[in-house]
Amino acid sequence: MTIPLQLRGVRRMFHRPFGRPPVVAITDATLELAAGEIACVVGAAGAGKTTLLRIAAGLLRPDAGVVRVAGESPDSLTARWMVGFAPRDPVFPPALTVREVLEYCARCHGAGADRVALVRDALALGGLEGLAGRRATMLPIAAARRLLFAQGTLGGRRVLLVDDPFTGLDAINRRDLSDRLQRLAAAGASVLLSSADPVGLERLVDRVLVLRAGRIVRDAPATVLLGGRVLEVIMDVPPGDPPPGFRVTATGLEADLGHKSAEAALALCRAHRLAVRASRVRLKGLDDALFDPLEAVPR
Amino acid sequence: MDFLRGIRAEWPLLRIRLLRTRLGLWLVLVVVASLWLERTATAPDPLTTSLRAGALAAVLCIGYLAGSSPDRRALVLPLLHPLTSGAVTVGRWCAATGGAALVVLAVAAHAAWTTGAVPASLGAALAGLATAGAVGACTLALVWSGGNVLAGLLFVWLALAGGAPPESLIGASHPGPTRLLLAGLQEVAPAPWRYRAIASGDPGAAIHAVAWILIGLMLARWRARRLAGRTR
Repeated sequence: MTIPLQLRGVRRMFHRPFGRPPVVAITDATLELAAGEIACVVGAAGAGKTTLLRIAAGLLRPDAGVVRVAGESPDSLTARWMVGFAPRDPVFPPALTVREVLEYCARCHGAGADRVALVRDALALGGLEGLAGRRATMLPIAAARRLLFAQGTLGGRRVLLVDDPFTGLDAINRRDLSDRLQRLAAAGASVLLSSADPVGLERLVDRVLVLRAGRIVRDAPATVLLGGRVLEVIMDVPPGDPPPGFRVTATGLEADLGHKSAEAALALCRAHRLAVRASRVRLKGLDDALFDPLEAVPR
Repeated sequence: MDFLRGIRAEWPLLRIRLLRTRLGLWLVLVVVASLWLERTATAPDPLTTSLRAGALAAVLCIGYLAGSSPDRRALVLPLLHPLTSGAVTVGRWCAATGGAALVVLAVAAHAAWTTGAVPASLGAALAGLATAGAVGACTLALVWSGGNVLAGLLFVWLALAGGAPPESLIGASHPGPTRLLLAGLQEVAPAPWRYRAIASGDPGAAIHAVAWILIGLMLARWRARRLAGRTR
């Protein structure tokens, strides 16, 4: 069976003028996306998330490596029938209503009854039926993101790339968009998201790829990343030199418990004569994956 | 097929912009002003009117259909679908030229109605359409490079000097380097004065127009790819 999206050893640099050294945006990126899978690329701003998605969408050419969409080059028309891309910034042609934006995109796919059906399906998928007559450029951010999502899915695309879909959304709209993405994946589409803020993605994604300075430093199922426990130790004065396995936080110390018990970790703190005011154990969140040291990273 | 889909996708933009922006009003003003100038001229020339109206309407249509900053940023949208930048460019040019064609046909129909010279009016319409096409393609490349400021400058230039042959600029007393440069541009670039000859069946002028349509569309296509961030 053909893999919907495949990147192997992808590298991309951006050259700069006046003899300044080029910026390495992506280096040695390898990933495969299975049918019906939702994966999320997480990383800080400037880590290369958007570049990676643009390469996968065929908008940017990699300097090295291979990108394949169902076995095809991503800038071929065949691949572009299969890949949808929802960019981060909602930009629509002025003076067009929501329905007209979708009709404009649908005309790129087909004509006649096909087009009417495409628009109707996209409106339903984006939950935009009630806003069909509104000007697209005047939409609130949540509806604008749903419109981006709807145009990305238009034409029954098998792979959807969504760049930072939750930025600027409140919890209700995040949940709403998450549900729509899950329904799409349940129908067999592969979804690759990017997000600088992974909080709340736990219930949505199957797999997480942590991108740091253009390199995928972690590629693991969400369940693996979320399986651990973290001990938070609150102290009056955080120590300059933490005990082995601990890291300093704003309120004290923090350590991944792994198979250790919380009591054993606290005993270590006491052995270092640290004044512990309070402690608590919490489950790991996806945001912890962003901060985990590289040596602890399972590939 | 790809180009046909491009034209079909871009064509409705003309109707929407005609009805919901000031484009429709501007085109009506171009028709009215052209007819008023013809009526008040000492030697009325329907061909000059048709050429000028076609050029000005083409610049306006491109400005309203493609030149604004949101329009340029939104170019990425069709290119995220199975459509090439060439198809988008040709589609947008067709839509804009279609708008300009309405103006040219209105002016030519008025000339045919008032003078009764139908063959001459047909020639004027043909020359006006060629002018609209060539000026539109070049304006498309200009606005996708520098925005509507360039379209505004071109509009003023075409309105003031579009019909003047370059010899009239060089022939003026003490021509400076700027005037020489403008005369050179007037000689090379698409301008209404050159396409007068299309009405009398000159193939050289027609070839000039077709060449500029192709050059303009190729440059615009290249700019469209850059604007959409498609740097493959």
